[in-house]
Amino acid sequence: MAEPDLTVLLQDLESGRDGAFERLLAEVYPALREMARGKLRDQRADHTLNPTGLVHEAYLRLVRYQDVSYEGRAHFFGAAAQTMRRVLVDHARKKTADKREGQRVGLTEAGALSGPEAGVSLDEVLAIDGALGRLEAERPRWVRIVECRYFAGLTLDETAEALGVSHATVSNDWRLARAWLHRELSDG
Amino acid sequence: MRNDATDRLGALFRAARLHPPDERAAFLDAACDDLGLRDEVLSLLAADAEADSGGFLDHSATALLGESTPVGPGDPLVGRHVGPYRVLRPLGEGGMGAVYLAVREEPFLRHVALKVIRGGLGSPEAVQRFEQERQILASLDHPGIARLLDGGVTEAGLPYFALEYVEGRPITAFCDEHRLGIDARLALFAQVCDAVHTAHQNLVLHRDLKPSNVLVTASGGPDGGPAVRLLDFGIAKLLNPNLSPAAMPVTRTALRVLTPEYASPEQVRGEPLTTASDVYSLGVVLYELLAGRRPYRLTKGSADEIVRVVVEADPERPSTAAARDETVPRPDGTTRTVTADEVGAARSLSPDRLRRTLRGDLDTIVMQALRKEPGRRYASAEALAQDLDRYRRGLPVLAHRDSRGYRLRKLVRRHRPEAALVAVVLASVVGFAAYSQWQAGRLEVERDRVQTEATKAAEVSAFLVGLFERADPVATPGDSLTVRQLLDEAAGRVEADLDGQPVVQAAVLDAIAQAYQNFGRPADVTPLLERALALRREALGDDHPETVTNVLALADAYSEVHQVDRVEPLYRDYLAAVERIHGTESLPTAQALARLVMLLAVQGRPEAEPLARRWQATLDRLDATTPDAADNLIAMGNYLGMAGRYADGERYVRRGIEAGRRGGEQTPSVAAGLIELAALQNGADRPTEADATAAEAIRIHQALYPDGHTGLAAGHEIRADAAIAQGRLGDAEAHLREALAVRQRLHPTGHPTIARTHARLGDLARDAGRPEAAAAAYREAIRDYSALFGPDFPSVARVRTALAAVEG
Repeated sequence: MAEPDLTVLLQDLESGRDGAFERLLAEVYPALREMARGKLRDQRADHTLNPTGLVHEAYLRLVRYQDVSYEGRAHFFGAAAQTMRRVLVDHARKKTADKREGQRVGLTEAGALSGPEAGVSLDEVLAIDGALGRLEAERPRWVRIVECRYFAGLTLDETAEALGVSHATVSNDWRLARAWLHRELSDG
Repeated sequence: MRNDATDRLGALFRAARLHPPDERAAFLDAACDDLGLRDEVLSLLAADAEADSGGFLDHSATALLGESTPVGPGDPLVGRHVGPYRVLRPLGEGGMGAVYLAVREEPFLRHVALKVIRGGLGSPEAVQRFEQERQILASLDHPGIARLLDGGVTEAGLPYFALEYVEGRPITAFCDEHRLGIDARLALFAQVCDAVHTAHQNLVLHRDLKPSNVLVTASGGPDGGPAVRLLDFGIAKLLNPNLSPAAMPVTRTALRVLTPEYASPEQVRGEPLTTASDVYSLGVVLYELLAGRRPYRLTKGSADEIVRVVVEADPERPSTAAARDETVPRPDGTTRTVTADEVGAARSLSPDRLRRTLRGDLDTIVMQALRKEPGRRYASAEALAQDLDRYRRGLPVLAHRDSRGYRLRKLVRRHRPEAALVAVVLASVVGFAAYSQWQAGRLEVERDRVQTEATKAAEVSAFLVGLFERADPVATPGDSLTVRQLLDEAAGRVEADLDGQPVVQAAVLDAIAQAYQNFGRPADVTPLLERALALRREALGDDHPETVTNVLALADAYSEVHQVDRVEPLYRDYLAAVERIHGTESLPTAQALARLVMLLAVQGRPEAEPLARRWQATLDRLDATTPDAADNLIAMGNYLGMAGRYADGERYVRRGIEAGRRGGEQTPSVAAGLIELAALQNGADRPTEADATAAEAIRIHQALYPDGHTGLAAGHEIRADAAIAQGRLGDAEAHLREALAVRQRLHPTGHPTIARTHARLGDLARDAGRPEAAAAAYREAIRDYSALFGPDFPSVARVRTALAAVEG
């Protein structure tokens, strides 16, 4: 995979240029998807995958030889979190569709798509994605936090950095967003 | 508008969660008159509680990617059942086992922390250790200690146990996130002390106390407030061997897993631990809670370096640490700066207010917990808690600062050997004061002066101690600080730090000057002594003993750097002051005259002679025979010898030696007198006597000054002269070489006498018919003279002539 000029994209993002975020996503998305698949395909028995590591590794891989400012790094994680949401939701949709169609799932694809596991189900991922869509207009910050925490597996500290808000705010908003989602999904 | 509403909602939610669940509705009634908002917050609070208990969104959706990932051999349990528990995900690694979040679904849903001995570590020893932790936990029943719920053996035969799952935040993070003030932090810390004390009473040491092992939940504590839970007794130890069939030594493993920033000095050294070691770690946690910094940052450095810092470095006081910005490393290798403002804000205080709150009792309490010596810390976690309680109630605390003398001893020990010199100088200043104090006390006079001296000694000591502490290389690893830098800083700071205390300033300047002298920087001495003299003249007057002594010291310093023209006026000042103080007919006056006469005589100035006659008359009228007059009598003899009056000179020198011997056979006066006598005997062409006298002088010098002395060199030079007079050129060369060695040791940076001795060795070699050796010695002399005085110095020309002669 060619390494995109992430520095330029991040600078565009920081200077508020139109479409910068979309272009960044366009770069980050395939990288992450590629890695998510490659990760599973190349898995060796002694390799422990830390899902959070995926985002970090994507970051390292994309910016390894590029000089990215601290703010740029934060933006990256924000963008990566949104990307992870798309990656995972896309996979969950495809997997659900496959199930419905009764198709046999290829080994490689199964790796990337299977569930439920450890309290995470395909239905939950899709339901949360839908609920976040309804929340977006009212509480965009909560949505960003859920993307970081739930979809990208970032810690509270990393989320705080990625979004440029205090740890205390992230901690409180995460609880609020989670409570809101819980209520939303229970009521539904 | 929407943002305001969001923020309001967030603030109310946050504030309400600080109240016990059953009081939240009442709180919201009081805090919020928007009923819709109130109901929304209540609804979200209820959903939050359900989400908590159900583990909602506990797992990132990224788990979808990880599901089919083959798990490593160390982590075979996720998704499996262990006893009645289903393992959900790893929580972390304990000392000997892995900890998982697990859930028991029957008879009611309960999340637990499941600790399982790690695969591959199932050795009998590890199993025994694991059993010990279980045993320890079973013996501890305290609300502040995560409770042991259950235990058993996995299908694979490995032991496990289930602990209460505490979904809290590390105590430091909790306090910061809730912006708890100092008192609230101390209240939480009291719970920690209480839990640790209970463990100690059950003969259990925790040994790994740190914020990540002290979790806080928002409710469940006393009065429904935040509650503390102590976790991870994984490397805990039973104190009572009866409870532990084979007590485990502190293994390398244990050392490796402990967190050095919270470990006590005895712990990093691998020494036996006591409850005082946990008290130390509590002190570190308290430090961090209060100051927002740790006493040490041990992110890099070898194990040795870590040990050294923990064992030797004195941390800053929390009030000081809190007041500065600190750059801390992030896990990814970048750094970020935590400002004093941030630290203050996390405590709901301005940085200045925080500093003032910590300064004093809290500083003292923390530092007592962090003492290097276990026996000097609080005797127990309970004693620490009690002292903090006294502080909170406004009572006097029991902690006390290290005495200055103690800190000084420690600093000197640490900076050995470089600081030894500075310390000696300091001791001499303080010692002088103490002597004056003793003397004055015995005479029961000059009470005020005693007071001043005592105060001065204390101030000087405080200044230098402060200097060491401010610029302590151990406390700031990597910044190697030389004593020279320390002295330079000291010299620069005197005025600011000791403003309004001219006498103390002068004493410190003396000490620094003395240290410069000892470090071979004589040129830096005179400006300091000039400053000191000006201060003393202004504050004490011209005739105060300190001013007079200062005049003399400054004169000596100028002669050391060969600024002889500066010396004479000072000697004249000195003489005038001494005459005013002691009268013209006094030994001090004779001594002052001696200095001036010698100074003028070596310059060949005619004014020397009338002054010398006054001096001689003074000495004769005093008829001095006591040891304190010995040096002056000898000096008189020396002067007369220089004037060619050997017989008169010898008479005074013999009187001087006799007076000196009243104070002891082997005293500096006797040694110096014998050198003078030998020189006079040589001058009077009595080389055999001179050789014997010089030999005796050398013996006494060797006994008195094992590290060398100019008198020793002089003795050898006289013996060389005597040998030359008797035609024993080989002996002469041997003595000159001895003299040279002594002088080179005394003046590693060069000295005129070294050059002169080279020149004399050249003369000897020339006279012995060894022109090449002579030329080599002359060249050394030329090089040394030129380095000291420049190529135009008369001696250079003289030696060049001699060199040309042997080369021609």
